[in-house]
Amino acid sequence: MLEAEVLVIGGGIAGLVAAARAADEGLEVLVVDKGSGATYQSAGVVDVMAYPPSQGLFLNPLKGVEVTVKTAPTHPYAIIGRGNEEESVRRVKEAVEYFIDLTSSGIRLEGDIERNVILMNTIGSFKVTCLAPHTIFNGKVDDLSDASLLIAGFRGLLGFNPAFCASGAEYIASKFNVNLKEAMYTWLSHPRLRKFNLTFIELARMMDDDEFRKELGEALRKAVAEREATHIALPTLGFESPEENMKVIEEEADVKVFELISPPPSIPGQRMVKILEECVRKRKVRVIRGYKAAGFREENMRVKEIILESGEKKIPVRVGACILATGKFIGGGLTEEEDMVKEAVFGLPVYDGRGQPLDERKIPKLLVRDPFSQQPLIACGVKVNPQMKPLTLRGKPYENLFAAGSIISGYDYVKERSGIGVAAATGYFAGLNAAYCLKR
Amino acid sequence: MEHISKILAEEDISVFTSYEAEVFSQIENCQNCSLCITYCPVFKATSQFYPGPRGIADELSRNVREFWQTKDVVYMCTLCGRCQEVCPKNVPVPEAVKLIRAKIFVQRQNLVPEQLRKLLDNISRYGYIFEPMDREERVESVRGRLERLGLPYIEDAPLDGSKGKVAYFPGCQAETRLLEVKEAGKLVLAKFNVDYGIPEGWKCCGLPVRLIGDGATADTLQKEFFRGMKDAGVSEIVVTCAGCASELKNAAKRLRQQITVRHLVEYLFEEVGIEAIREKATHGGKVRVTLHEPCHLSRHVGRYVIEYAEEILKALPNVEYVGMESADECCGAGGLLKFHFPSIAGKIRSEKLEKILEAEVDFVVTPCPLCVVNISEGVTRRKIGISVDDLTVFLARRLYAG
Repeated sequence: MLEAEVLVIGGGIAGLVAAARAADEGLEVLVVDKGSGATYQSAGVVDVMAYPPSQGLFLNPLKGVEVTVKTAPTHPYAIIGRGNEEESVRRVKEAVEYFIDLTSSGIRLEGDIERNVILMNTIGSFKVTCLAPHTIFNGKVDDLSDASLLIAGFRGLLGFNPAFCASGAEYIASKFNVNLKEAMYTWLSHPRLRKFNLTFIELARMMDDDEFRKELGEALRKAVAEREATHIALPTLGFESPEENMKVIEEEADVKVFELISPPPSIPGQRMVKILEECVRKRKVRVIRGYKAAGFREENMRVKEIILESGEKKIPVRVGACILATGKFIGGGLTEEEDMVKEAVFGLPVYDGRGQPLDERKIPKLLVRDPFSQQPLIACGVKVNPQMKPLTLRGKPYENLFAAGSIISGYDYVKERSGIGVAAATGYFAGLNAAYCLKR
Repeated sequence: MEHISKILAEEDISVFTSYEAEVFSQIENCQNCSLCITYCPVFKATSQFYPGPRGIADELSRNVREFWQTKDVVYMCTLCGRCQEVCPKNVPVPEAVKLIRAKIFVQRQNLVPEQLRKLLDNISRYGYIFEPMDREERVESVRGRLERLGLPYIEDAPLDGSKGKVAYFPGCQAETRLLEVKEAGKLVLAKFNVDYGIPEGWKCCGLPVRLIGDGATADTLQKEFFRGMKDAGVSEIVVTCAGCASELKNAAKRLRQQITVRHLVEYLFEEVGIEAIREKATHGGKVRVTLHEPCHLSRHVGRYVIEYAEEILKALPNVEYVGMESADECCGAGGLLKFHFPSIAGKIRSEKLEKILEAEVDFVVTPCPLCVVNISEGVTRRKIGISVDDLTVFLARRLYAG
């Protein structure tokens, strides 16, 4: 029989941070993951808080956290600080700094936790975020003052039009009062790239090729000389070695180069999970993919066993503590059954964003037809107490079950831009609390 | 009813079975997120003309009836199952590929690649997917192979109908090509005093036939197989091939058989136990070993078999087990790709070889003879000084000789 002191269900940001934190306390941790969740689709930048509930844009994420705690008592940020604003801010900061430190051997995350920046994406719009990998952070809108930006497109690349993106850049610059001199675009092609149906993944793989990136640099140098550009934006800078690729192209083309935030499945998002997994493995955490948590056994409100499913086989794992980090609809933590939303592993009750129990009649009201408005269904999930323990149907939590990440209700990461911030903060404290719970 | 089916046949119209309808409706869950193409080994090797799993799902979810538009694509798939594993919506692309191949086989035989049709001839002629050697040549070859490996020869034990016997099913590859795997399987079972017998006159498990698309023949083969096993009073089957393991497990479930099918790795771990293996594996010097994970075990059966295989390797004295990066990526032999698109299979294989080289090992072992043949072909071509062994053979060598 498999055994683990701490079993983490889910291998996204929240699960991996929780695993690393519990392992730091000297515990033996096992992470199981059934496939790939929402983190692979995410932008690969660290959002903390940009638009607190029913507020406008905040340029200081920590101020945003403070306001959130004041206005939304069921928000995970409010729960980790037990309703105290200063405590919440301190804890979010601690968790995000831990995340930066954890990933530092693989990604150079740049930025300041007290300052949001505006970054451009491949569809010519912008994203407000706090920390980003060096290659993306280089293109923050503030830095583009007095710049002549050249956006390089590739013939046949699906979902990326440099002309469209350039007009978007001009709009963003005027919106945020940045004196962007000019936004230009150019079309590139290369004999080794397909001229139709080219995907971001192929382009990214190609970028990692030594010859290709040099040739691309040369082609860009010509384009830069013609148009007197000072900055180049590329749709992606590769999978394996984005920093190095950026340096090579910068040297060849002799201008500043940066990467745009790419659409799902985002290359930076996939890079981030991969690196985080490596970093977590270094801390002696065992990560196994391809296992699905299918059930559990409890005794006296303590989770004793988790049943894992691998093919036809059911494998019980004896656990000391368990962390539920299964995500929402994309990750598979919440499942839609007929007219009801259910928590998939433990059958925990699901609550809406305001902390009220969800029932069948409410669900249609939580879905909004207008694609640009907020979708309240995103904010539903399990309800946790200040120790990060999810409540059961009996109202009491299991003594050794913790929750982390987007399975927790009370926040809308899409609107707030708080995805990785909440994941890291809840993961950090779920891991820490699981360790305390076992030591006691 | 008969009249209707006659018209349908004349008009070349096929009706979905409920299973097909279910699979194709699940295909519609594809959100077009493209995550699968990051992982697809064929896409990595041939992006110029292969749209990847998403492409298959894409064309299928628009218009299932026009499924032959995907025909050039479905024969390029290795059916490794990686796409379904990483898919957030668990879209069964590999199953759909199998079904389309079956549809094409029934309705548009001319679209089936020549090489695959030739393989089918072997089935009707010999019962195996490959042409067997003649008797004397085979005896000689077995002798030579065993001598080279330093293993003894034991006679085939028959299934005599006595109760409690385990049936050992070696599979076509071990019967006709990689002869030592069959011998090693017998040796390993004998070493642990397992009361086993080899069924007489056995035929292909049906997997390659199903991959070619001939579902009817595959069904017949499997029904016959399980009938034979039932007549012989068998309730437990052990196989040494990953493909046979996954296909026979599925077939047993589909045909509602009360017979357990297990891969030798599963059988050893669950019935014999790690301690007994550690005790008896007294032979052989110090070696560094890595494990290639066959798709048919890690994804079509379940990851737990791979864990078992790792535990067994770790338990062997003097064997240093090293993990390999992307050990679960396909070696290129899957989906019969090696027979009709050897160039693509070769490209996928060279990626695998890079990873093997990085691991700096003496041995690559894998519990699948098909992977062994493919990887060792690559190793020989590139003149790499690494031995490729089937896990069964490797184990037999640790149990019997150097």
